[in-house]
Amino acid sequence: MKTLLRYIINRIVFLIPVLFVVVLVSFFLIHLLPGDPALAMLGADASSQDVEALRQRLGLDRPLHVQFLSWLYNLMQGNLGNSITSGRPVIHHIQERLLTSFLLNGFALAISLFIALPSSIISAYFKGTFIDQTVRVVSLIGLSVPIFWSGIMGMLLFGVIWGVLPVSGFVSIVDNFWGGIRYMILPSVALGFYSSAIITRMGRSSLLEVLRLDYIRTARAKGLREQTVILRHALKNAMLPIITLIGINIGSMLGGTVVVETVFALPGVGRLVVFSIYNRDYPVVQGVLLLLTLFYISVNLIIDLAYVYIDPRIKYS
Amino acid sequence: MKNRYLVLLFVLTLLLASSTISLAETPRYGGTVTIAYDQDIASADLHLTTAFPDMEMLLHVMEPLITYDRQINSVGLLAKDWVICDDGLVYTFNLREGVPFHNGDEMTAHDVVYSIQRYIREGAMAGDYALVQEVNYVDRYTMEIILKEPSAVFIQTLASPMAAVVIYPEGEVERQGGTITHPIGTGPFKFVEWVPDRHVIMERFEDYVPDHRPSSGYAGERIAYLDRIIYQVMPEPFQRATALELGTVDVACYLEVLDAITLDGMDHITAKNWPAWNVFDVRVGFKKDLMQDVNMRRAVSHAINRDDMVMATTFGYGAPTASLMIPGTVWDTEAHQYYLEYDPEKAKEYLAKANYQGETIEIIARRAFALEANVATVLQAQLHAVGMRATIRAVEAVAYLDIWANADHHLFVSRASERTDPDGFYGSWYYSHTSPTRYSNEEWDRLVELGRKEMDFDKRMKIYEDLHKLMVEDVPVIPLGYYVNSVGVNNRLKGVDLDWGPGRILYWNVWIEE
Repeated sequence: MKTLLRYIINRIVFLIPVLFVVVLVSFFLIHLLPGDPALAMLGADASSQDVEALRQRLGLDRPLHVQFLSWLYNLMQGNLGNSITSGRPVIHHIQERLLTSFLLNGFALAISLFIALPSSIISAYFKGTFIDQTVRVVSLIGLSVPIFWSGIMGMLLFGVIWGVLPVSGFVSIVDNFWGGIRYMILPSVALGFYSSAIITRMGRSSLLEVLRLDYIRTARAKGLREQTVILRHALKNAMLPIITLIGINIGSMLGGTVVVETVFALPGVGRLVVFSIYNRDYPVVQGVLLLLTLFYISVNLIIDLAYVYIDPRIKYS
Repeated sequence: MKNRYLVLLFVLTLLLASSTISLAETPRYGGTVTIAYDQDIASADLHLTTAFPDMEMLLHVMEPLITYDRQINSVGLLAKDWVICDDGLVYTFNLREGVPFHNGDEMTAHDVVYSIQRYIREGAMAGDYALVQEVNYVDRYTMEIILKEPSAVFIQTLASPMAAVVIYPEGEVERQGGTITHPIGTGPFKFVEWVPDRHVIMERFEDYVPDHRPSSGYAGERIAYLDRIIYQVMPEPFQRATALELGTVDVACYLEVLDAITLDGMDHITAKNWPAWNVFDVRVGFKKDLMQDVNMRRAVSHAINRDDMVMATTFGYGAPTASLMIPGTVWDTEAHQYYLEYDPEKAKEYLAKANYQGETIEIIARRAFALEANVATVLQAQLHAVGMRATIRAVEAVAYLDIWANADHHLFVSRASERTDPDGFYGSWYYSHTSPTRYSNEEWDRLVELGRKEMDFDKRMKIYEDLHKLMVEDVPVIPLGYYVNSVGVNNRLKGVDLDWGPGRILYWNVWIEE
């Protein structure tokens, strides 16, 4: 237990240089993009004097390294700064959108697991049969179809033709629970379907590998029920690569969130970062990237810790 | 006898029909209107922003001293009237009395002085007010602005909604921590909430005191019949069109032209495409050598077939124009119709004079705006047709502004929103002291400066006609056509103006049919 705790503390300490590199690289990358936030705010008709005055007011006339150090200094004090576009604190912008993105990713993950785990088990168990072929074709479709397309098709079918789900707009789950859930179904399915396809394929091959091992033959020879052999003996050992993939998938789902939030007009963090990049709203982009990096690293830490639970042979020192 | 009954029946039917019509057309209070809008607002503080969504939505909440009517004439809104002294330096504004803010306080000259001073200090386009020397309180309902030099455009600048000097209660900015986040104004609707990326909600201000001059454009009588207005952010045109079709919203703004045509065929929707006041144009950059030769610019101008351009890019719903002036306004005179006609042979002659050797002309357009990308494509084809090599560089919006600000282009496809005064066009893009394009023409500068000082309307008119002629012959910019407004409205909404050039839907004097 002590070694595990030490491992966790070590990982958290290592988080600091990782975060520093991420914010440093992202800061300079976003500043490399052509475009001036002051000009973006005032438009083509603004006089150069007005643009310059705004640049000074926003502190954009200072050398880049001074801007970075100033941002870092504020960050040390827990201040992510203010949005250039709206003047409001970055943390408010993120807070307002965090729940939406969190729910979207949570639902999408649940949907992807709900589809992927049974599919991969069925596919592996019925290897080579029509069922297996069907699962493989469906998961191939899931992998090949872009999220924006499946999203739009979902809107067309369920929203426009059958009229059972809303096509766009948003109701917060906080304001209206069931209303909020209805608005989340289509985007979550669009995002979750893609993710489920990846997990299904990995789950199937991982299970097939485990099912070939000697201890599975022994379990069957002992006369255990097939259900017990698959679920208790095979699945648990097949879960390691699946869990690793889930961790990676959560990261790629964050990318998918940007697309889904745009297609479905969901007010989430993904759309915030796109809008902020378009407007060169540097503090917001920095704040969101910092948050996403933290989230991604935390998820991976949790995944690493889950290995210990799933496979007691794994020890961290 | 039988005929008498028939006549009676006919008269009764007519009476019934007329009463039904009058009932349907009688405004009624109540109801919520949901609008599918393409963008979120950038800021709730109208002094600090020039973004269109901010202006379009928040001018229902806040009001300026002066605004403009349907013909873009400057008209008082919070100002009852104004007097300009003989030397043209002192503007005295008489304010309407008994106009309450949403916080219950009465709007007075203190608030107006405070707001104008704040704009001059911090406003997004504070440079427009560089000629203001003093802003003074005179009495409770009178204030004055003293200029450093006479200006023929000052009133029009004050009336511009693009940089709206709206009136806040005195001290409101400081009370809200330096930036307005919950606007308090005098408008017919009160601000309720802004949830970024989701919606802006406003509700009827029960104590609103309307101006009693006839309603026209932004000016005159404004009556808030609706209980609530909800602007819902839907970035994609298909989302807005679908939401209107399904009845989840009442208005869909900024539709695609084809969507508007499709929606208009539905029983519950009126959708319309009509020419906008926005002019789309091609602007020349003078930093690069190629376009510095006037013969090259004239060749480009002669190569352009505006009719084809408008048909191809707006499905014929826009309108070709050679003028930057807004159609139907006093400035849109016969002299502004002069242009270099489409003539491929002349274009080739000018190319020969320019000793054009097949150098590549780069056309810059914004990727996100389909119209501009389409204009660039048609322009490229039309230039090719006379033997010019042209490539298109489609860039994202902020990079596009950067290219514009550095004049790093040959040709720049753009569009301009309406201006309250011709100086807004001629004085901003190609006036050498402020233009980012590196264009330098002494005659142009002289005319711009004359236009800004000349207080006599007829003489000003002549100045802008001369500027138009200079623009056509020296070709720093080529106006091409008027863009299209495409809006769809649920038929239960009455009083919506689907004709006005700016294409912005104003929700005062609009009601929901029972």
